[in-house]
Amino acid sequence: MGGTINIVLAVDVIAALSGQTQEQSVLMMDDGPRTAENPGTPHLITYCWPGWQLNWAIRQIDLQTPAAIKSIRFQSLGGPLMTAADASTLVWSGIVPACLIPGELYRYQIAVEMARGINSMLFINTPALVVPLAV
Amino acid sequence: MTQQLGIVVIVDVDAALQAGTLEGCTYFFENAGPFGSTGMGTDRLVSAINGTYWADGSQASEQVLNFVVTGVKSLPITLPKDYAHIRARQQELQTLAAARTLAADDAAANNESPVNFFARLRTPQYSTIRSPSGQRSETILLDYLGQPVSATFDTSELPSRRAEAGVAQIPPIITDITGEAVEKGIIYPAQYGSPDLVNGGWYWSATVATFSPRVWSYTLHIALYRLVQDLTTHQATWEPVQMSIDAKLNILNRPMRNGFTGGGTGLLPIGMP
Repeated sequence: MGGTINIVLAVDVIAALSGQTQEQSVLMMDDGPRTAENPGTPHLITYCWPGWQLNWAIRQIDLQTPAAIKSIRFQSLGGPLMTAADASTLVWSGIVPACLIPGELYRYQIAVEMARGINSMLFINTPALVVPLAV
Repeated sequence: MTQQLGIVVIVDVDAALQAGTLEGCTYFFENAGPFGSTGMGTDRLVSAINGTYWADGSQASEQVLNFVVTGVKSLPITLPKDYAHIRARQQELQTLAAARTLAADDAAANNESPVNFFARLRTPQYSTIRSPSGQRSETILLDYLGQPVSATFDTSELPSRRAEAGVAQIPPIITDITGEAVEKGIIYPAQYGSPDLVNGGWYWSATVATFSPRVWSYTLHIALYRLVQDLTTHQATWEPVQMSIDAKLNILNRPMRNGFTGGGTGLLPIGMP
């Protein structure tokens, strides 16, 4: 068994709803043992290893704005397996499977629900996981 | 999900003073709409409070409520606290400039007599605010555009009559939060000082004990301000009128579920790149 890596998504909800770009309104970072690529941007590449647990969490920069992770989809498979009416009761964590090819980027999409309605969904398509070539 | 819930209370002060009640004259808004709140835009707000818990029974989220009250006919409460004085100062500077022009005897060129000048002279009209606790403070009457309401030397019309038509109201304020939810210890309300000078640097906030899932009621006590005028002195005063309105919290208590599996933690759904 491996360790745990927390991936935190900080969203400036007011900026995102005001039409700012994701570069200006979304920051991602993780606490993995190997420093991620592009920390502090929506292009975060997290280094992980088979058997490790990844936990995703969202933080609003302004605590008075609502935001919840509605889904996390990996492009290779559909998903998410869960569809909940209330995204605030979902916790996003899972174990890195053994089948990942080292050095390959596994991109994923995080859907963030910030308020009511389709215009309040923020889709972040740029983060990725990668198993490093040299462990 | 830890979150602060902003509850905005917009009051139609004229209608409420006439009806003698806040019911039907109050409009609630808040930001938990996606998470199940109902009654937005009405006087019957039920705020959804997420009382989620982890598999071991421990609390997964906390909730804080922040209350903001304003009036339909009030200027935005986000304006700087000295906004009225800034606008009155501008008006005074304009008046002084006009007086200097007159003194320099340019008036003849402008065909303006001193009599006309004094007839046009505009000065800010002051009013007194009497707080619910009896303290008095002075404020400048502004119209809806944020301009000082002017008193002129023309006394044929009572200043207040002009003022009433176009004067922006002093925003109502919360004076207390009581009710079942407070008595049973479900919410702990308090008034806090804020570096943001909205509402004079004070705001009401409440923390919610989310372990008691139920619909809980609480009562907001709100002081509305009525503009009254002393007929002999023409002194305008904002007198507080106490009213109250009920609102509800719907505390939900649901287990946190894994978004990938619906249950416990499993392998991430990643296949071939």
